[in-house]
Amino acid sequence: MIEAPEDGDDGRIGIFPSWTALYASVIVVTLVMILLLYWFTVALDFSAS
Amino acid sequence: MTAPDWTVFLLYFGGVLAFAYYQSRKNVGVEGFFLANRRLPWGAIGLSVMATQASAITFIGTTGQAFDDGMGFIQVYLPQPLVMVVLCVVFVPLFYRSKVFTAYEYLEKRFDPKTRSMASFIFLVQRGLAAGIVLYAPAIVLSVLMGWDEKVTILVMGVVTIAYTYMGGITAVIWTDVIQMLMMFVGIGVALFILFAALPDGVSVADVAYIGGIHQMWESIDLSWDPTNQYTLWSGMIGGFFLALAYFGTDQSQVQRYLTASSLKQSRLSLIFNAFVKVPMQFFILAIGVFLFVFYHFEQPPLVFNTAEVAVVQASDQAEAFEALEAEHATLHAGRRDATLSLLDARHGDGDVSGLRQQIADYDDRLEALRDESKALVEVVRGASSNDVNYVFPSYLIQYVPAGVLGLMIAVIFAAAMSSLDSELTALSSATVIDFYRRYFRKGDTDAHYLLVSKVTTLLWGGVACLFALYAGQLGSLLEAVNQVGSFFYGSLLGVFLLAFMVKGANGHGAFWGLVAGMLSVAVVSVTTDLAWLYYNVVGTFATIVVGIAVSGMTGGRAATGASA
Repeated sequence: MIEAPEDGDDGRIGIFPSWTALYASVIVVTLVMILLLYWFTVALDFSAS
Repeated sequence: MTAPDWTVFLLYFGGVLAFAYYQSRKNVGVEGFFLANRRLPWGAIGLSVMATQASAITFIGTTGQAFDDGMGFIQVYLPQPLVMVVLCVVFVPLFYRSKVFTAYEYLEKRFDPKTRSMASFIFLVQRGLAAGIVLYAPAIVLSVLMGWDEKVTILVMGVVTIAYTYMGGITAVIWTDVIQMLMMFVGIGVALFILFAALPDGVSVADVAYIGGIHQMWESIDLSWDPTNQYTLWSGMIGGFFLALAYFGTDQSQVQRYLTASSLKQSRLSLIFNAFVKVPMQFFILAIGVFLFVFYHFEQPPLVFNTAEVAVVQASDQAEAFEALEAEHATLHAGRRDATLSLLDARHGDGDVSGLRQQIADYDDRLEALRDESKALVEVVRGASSNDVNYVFPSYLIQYVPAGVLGLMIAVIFAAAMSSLDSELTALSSATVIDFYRRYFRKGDTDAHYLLVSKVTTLLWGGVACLFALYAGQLGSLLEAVNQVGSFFYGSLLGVFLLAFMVKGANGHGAFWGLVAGMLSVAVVSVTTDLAWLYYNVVGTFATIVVGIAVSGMTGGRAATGASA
């Protein structure tokens, strides 16, 4: 018989199939935020125009 | 403050104290006082983790910094989501499964007592200082808003926070943090809404973006490689990564939060919640500062935002000189406002904007020179440097926020301060009792005894924080002061934990001397170079690891200190 981990740390995490998928989504969101901020920096720089 | 303001403000204080009293009934034993019997849900812990980091300094200092320098400070926060992933994968499982009370207790399981004691002592020194600064920041606000002496406000706020932390322990701290964090979200939204609503007729959000843009206030990402530049993408992603990893992974005030979770999954989810929410929240807080910058193109700002300094100068023999500066400031501001409105008209009508922009640039230069002149005058009178960055947001609140909302905003700043201070008091108390008192002075006593000592220690650390706050007035920008104090120690603390987690052959001697070498390295670098302070964390971490590995190798490896974890 396989016992479930006592801390209940396995299985689906909400809409994510695994912790790996959740961590990957955090990394993707971080990259998107950096790109958005870079776009923000460039698009709203009116110092030279 | 008006009657509605006082009502909101006192309701907040009364509510927090009543809630803490209610929670105090749940404190059974020392594990209940410090770890809530390890039964809290991720949502509450996640908000508490966020509230602990978001102090009043975040509200006052960050908005002031954005008013002065723009959005660049956001880069410090960008690595935090990645840090949360590293914590979930490496740090949290080890802490959680080892059933420790403090992060430093783990170091004894892995290394030896001297490494644990040294790390815990460093934490106590660093957090003891930071607790004082965290208390001092909102005291400034109160001194401006209510005309109270700073010392009185420090003592009033300190006593209330100490009281509810003493009564309710970590359970009360975390649940009041939840309320306080939700209040902060409301406060951010209200501040932005009021700023938009107060813009002159015909000035749109696009115009705000444009005015900020011609001053490069929206510059959020700086790709330059200059290692002496404090806020670049690289200093943020490298230095900020190490700072955040050290803060969330080795600072008891944060580790204690996720040790209260009912399971490892709950613990991890609390950090993942922060990964998604923290950066957007900081973005909006910084945006308040930039909106203030634009707002004061249309409304006349004070020449000096700190009204206490103004009062001192006006009562001195420099009063006439200051009055003349204020008159010139009003004239220049009126000129810049007219030029700004004309610029927006010209832009909407495809007119020639270059001449108007040059006019505005000239006004900016003259206004800046005037501000420098006024600061010099304040310095002459006070005999101490003038830094009013932290007064920009409070000054705006006093002048422009309607009755009732002002009370709410003051309560929000209080909430921010108290939610950080309460966490620091429980963390300081837990490290003192668990890592020193119970470890060295009184082993094997009853749970009731340790609970009593924990409460007394909370009172004592609260007293230390109040005392330090009374003398924190001359530290310059509070925001940087807190982080810089941390940066002197954080890298070394992180280094010793990474040694524990990742270097199998490391032993207690290596960890201890690595820790010492890490701190010395940071001291040398800070004195002899202009390296941006965020990189101190990187220096401290690597120096600790390198020396730790070397000394471990020379002293017989892991077997030398009988590590068990």
